[in-house]
Amino acid sequence: MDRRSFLGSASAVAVAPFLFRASGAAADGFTPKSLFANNPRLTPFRGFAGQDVACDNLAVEGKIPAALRGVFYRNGPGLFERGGQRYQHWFDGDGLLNAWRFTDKGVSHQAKFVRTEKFVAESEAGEFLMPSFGTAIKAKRPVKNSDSVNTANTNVVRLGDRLLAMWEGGSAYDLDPQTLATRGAITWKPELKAMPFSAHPKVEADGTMWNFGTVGFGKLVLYHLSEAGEMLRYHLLDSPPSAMVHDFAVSQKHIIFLLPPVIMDRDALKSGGSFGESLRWNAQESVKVLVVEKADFTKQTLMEMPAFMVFHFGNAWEMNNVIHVDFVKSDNLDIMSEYMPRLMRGESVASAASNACFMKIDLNKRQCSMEARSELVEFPRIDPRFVAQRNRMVFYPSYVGNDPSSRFNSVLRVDTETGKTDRYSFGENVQLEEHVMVPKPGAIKEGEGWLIGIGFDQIRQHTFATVFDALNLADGPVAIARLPYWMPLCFHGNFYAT
Amino acid sequence: MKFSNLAAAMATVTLTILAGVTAHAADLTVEIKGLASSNGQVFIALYDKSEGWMKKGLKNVGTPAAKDGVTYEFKDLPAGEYAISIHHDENGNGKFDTNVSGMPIEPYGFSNDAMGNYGPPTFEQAKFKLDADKKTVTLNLK
Repeated sequence: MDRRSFLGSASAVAVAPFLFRASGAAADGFTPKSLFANNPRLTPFRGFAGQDVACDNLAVEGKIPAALRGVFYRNGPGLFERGGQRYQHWFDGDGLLNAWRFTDKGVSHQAKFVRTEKFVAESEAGEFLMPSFGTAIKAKRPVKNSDSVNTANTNVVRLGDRLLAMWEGGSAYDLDPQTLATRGAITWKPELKAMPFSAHPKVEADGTMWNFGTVGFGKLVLYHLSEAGEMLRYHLLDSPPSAMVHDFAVSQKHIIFLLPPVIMDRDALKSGGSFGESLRWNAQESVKVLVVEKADFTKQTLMEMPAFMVFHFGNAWEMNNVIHVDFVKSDNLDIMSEYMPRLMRGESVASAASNACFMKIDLNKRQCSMEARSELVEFPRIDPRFVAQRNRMVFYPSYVGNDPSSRFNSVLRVDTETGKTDRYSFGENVQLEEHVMVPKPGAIKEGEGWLIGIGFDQIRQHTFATVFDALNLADGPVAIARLPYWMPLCFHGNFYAT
Repeated sequence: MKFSNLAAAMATVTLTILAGVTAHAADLTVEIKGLASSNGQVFIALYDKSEGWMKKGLKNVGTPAAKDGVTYEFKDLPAGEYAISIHHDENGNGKFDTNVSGMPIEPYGFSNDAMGNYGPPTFEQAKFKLDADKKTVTLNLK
């Protein structure tokens, strides 16, 4: 079978019989249809009405590799509307945890909303009660601390016997890895209750986890956790103020922050604006490059670069006191402040560019330099065995084509040493989420394994999972598993082999 | 996605006026509902002016917590404007516990429907008039 034909035309592939159950109206019954009536590519932004869904046996095209067994957990905002009120920002939605299970019986899917304090209270009330990131909702219940408004909607990682559903302004939520039932917000230590715990922890090959939180404007908290999930160390440090620090990087010896010049307009906030609406881009200000020693959180180096925006990092590694760090950069906050609210209104809109970027931080000379590539990308991922080690491969969803309002439709692998690329495009009728590299059991070579990810088929109006040979993307997916329904798009996730 | 500086905020308070006879001195009953447990104490701070709001109360009292509700009476108060802040010291350490970033992690509340915006409410938002000889103020910690 020509793998390239998988999504080439509607008649290319016969869909195998499959069974599914949905514990609620999974798809088209939901309300703000009129917003999206003429824009089927934005269907996932309608969101769900709070229902959990499941499908026992997905239709599989191609062949799931026999050695690929495990669970692909994903998390993203899944509910955008209650009681006739619609959120204005993609970041606002309540966390909807997805588990795509690859077993000897095939592929199954399960999605369950995280039962946060907020989700439970608002489900009972049938309306939004709490302010959200990007929508100015007047609190109808007391906002006691960060966890009163925590949506647990950004990422999911496994730590010990816990599945962590993470936001970034408050606690990680603990979920049962098998049932996805919510066990509650995690308090690592009494004095860390309701502390910010970012959605982008870095887990090294030995299971050690590093994470951070942004405290007010001008402090960061650093965390070091064991593989079993014990808080080994934490440290509160003064940092240059930045109101939007979403991710960071870790090398062999250092923790690296690129603090973008985002400031909080306190007057806008005081006069009732949402948190997101009150953020301002300060182009005159620099990006602060903050490097902290892993062994001693009090040892820090600060440098500057001209203004750019960064959300996501791929990896960092160092040699001879020069740190190599890769990330995705954009010129300013427009993607978050302009593009995303328009998507949420069902508009066809072109996104500002975001490009792969590679920075060298020379700790000897105290100098930084960087180079950017031209492809439109986001959500960089690497081989998980190479976190904080020297790597030379980064994987991205990317856009290839001529439609400025289209979204990521291809996967891209970049060799950071040669600059060579490997890519596959699904054409204009598909949009892809983050794709995750899964090492083949027993493999040693970087990239040896699969690249798996989720996509939305705009023609068939359903969500699917893809499996690529991570070292040969150009050949197209080796397997696609299709759901009989569509899902809201997820932000991030991770695969855990069984 | 960052509410990390939501350092303090807002509590639901319902105000019940029971009597309407003017007097020089009045008794104020504070009813506290919605406690999560009977552990520790409830601390009540009564203020009669904006100076010292959330710092130094006119009266500061502690009373044992009870899950089904706590009532405390302030006697012989001069008629005038007052505001109340309360906190449930669940672990009984005598402090209003915060996490390492200074955010409250024990239940708290204010008189009136006073909810601050990224901070505690002001005295003006929490104040009420005491001009009868008896008045009951109900606060809900839930």
